[in-house]
Amino acid sequence: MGRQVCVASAGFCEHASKRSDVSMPEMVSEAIKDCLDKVPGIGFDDIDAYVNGNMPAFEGSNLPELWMTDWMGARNKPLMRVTTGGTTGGSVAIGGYYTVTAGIPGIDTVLAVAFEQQSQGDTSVGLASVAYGEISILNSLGIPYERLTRLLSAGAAIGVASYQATTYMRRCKITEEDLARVVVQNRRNAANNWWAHLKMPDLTIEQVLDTPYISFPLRYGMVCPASDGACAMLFTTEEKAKEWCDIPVYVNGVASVAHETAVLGYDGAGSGQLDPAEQLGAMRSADLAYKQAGISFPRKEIDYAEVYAPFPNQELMWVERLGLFAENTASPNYVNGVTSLEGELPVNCSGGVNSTNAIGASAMERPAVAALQIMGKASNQVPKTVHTSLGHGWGGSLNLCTFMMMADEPQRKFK
Amino acid sequence: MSKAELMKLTVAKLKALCQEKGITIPSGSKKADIVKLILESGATQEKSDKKAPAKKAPKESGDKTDSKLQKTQRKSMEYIKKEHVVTRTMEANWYLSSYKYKYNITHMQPFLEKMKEKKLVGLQCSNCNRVFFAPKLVCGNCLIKPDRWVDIRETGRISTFTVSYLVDDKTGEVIQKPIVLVQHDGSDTTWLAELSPGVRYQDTYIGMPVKVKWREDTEGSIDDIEYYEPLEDNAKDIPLRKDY
Repeated sequence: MGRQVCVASAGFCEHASKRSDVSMPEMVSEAIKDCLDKVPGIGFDDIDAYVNGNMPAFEGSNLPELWMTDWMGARNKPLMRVTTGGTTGGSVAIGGYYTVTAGIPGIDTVLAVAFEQQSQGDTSVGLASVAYGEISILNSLGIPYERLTRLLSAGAAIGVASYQATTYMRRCKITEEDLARVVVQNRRNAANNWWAHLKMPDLTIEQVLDTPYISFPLRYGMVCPASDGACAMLFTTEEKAKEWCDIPVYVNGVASVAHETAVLGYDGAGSGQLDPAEQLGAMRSADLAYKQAGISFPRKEIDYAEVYAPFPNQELMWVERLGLFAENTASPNYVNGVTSLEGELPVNCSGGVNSTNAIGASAMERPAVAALQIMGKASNQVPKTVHTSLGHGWGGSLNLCTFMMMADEPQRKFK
Repeated sequence: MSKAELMKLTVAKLKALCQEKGITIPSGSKKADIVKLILESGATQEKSDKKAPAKKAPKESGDKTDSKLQKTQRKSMEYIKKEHVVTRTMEANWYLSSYKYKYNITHMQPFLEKMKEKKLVGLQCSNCNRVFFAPKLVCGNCLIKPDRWVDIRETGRISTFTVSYLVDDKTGEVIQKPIVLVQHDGSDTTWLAELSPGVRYQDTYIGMPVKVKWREDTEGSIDDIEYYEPLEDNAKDIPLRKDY
């Protein structure tokens, strides 16, 4: 068993569709400054190692981590790079956790940095290369490229989500109105969050339903934006975190599990799964992390959840799959306000991925916000005291799910 | 363009509009002032005239296509926006050279040969007995090569679907077309497919029974399946709507 790991701090830069005022390393340095400002007296000298990640093909700059070495104070220090598609941020956070928990002599504090400046390049070109796994198998079936683009015309991420949405909506018997309600909650939450991108304080369900379809159940108003932004998290040992922060956040469980290809039944895991909303990988990752953290009743024991939901149907799907609500009962809880800011189990009070999506960073923003909610330093802080929270990430063409459980006390019984 | 429409535009767009029309804006004027200036000058009348042919609306097919076009045009939703100062930028290209990606086709050969005879076959894993259609080289659960060929029926059911909104290059019309995943009877996987062009997208539903429509001269490729035709459904709980 490794060392106990704590999150000492987390920081963000301001997200926007075009951060035209800064270059990529400058944007990252903003997030790192925000992160280090939250732990007074801590500077670059106290950081021993770095984990860095983004999706290089989306912004057209290769090896950006070497470019920004000086901007994050990583000169003459160990540096590791992680890239796993949509879950890049989640994997970077888990990389930071592993580096600390490994107990390497001299490496106690790790800064994990994830970022994306999508306005700089062409994201759709990058996504085409990510979706190559699916394209190759369709090619081997002999489908010509023109027909293939027509079939997959729904696009990389939204094409996957629309299939999920159709089956999920049929199974739970929900309508588009229920999807729009999730969007409204997210975007109104984002209005109170200083770094969020789409801040819509006066959004109504009618306005969302007034927008045209992009791909059948999903409308233009329901889809996540493309943002520029960065996020930084500071992982350290238990002893140092107690010294540095008032409320150190203990990371009690991590997991990352992939299960089924995004376009079903073609390649990848090949489990022959028929329902795209089944998401066994998410259930498995949640099980693993709950077991590590010693959580047996997620609905009762978890106070705050931050799930990776670029599309509203996914938010409903994930909260069920992660065991927070019973099967097919997520939507009524959004009507009753259980998941709102003042509710019993607040979900995505930062606005979620639905309001801010800097691809490389967004999976890390989930555990980062969840940690800050425990510390009480989050923007749009929930009024109740948060003891346990979770951060979840999803992405890649193989439905990779990353998961991080955090609490304000360690799980001693498993040590 | 009415006042409300102009107010929806961003400041930058309004300024560009003023430059086109030759309206001078006093420095430090707000969005409402610029809109007022544009409305007073009466420049919007010309603007709307100019914009009409840009919509690519075909003249012959009257209101029907117009409403369709409007449906799919992007409506921007208002949100609190902060204008950032623009720093210096540099134009550059990332030329990605051409690659040669490889994929295995050996396991597909018997499948494609059977397609020529208008027959469907799938590969069954001899360990977990799951049938892959289309055939797969390796079973993901057992990590062995499926080697038993089994017959698959031409009928199946829609396991999930979406609707794509693509513009036809020739007519400029938006085609709303259902794209479906079909699970064939006798197989354990789904299959990406198109429905018959006669089917309206509103009538598609999960669990809809479909049947293969073959091309007349088959060549031994996936394209031999032209599309899928919906079948008469005898299930009472999910009635097939026939109001068209």
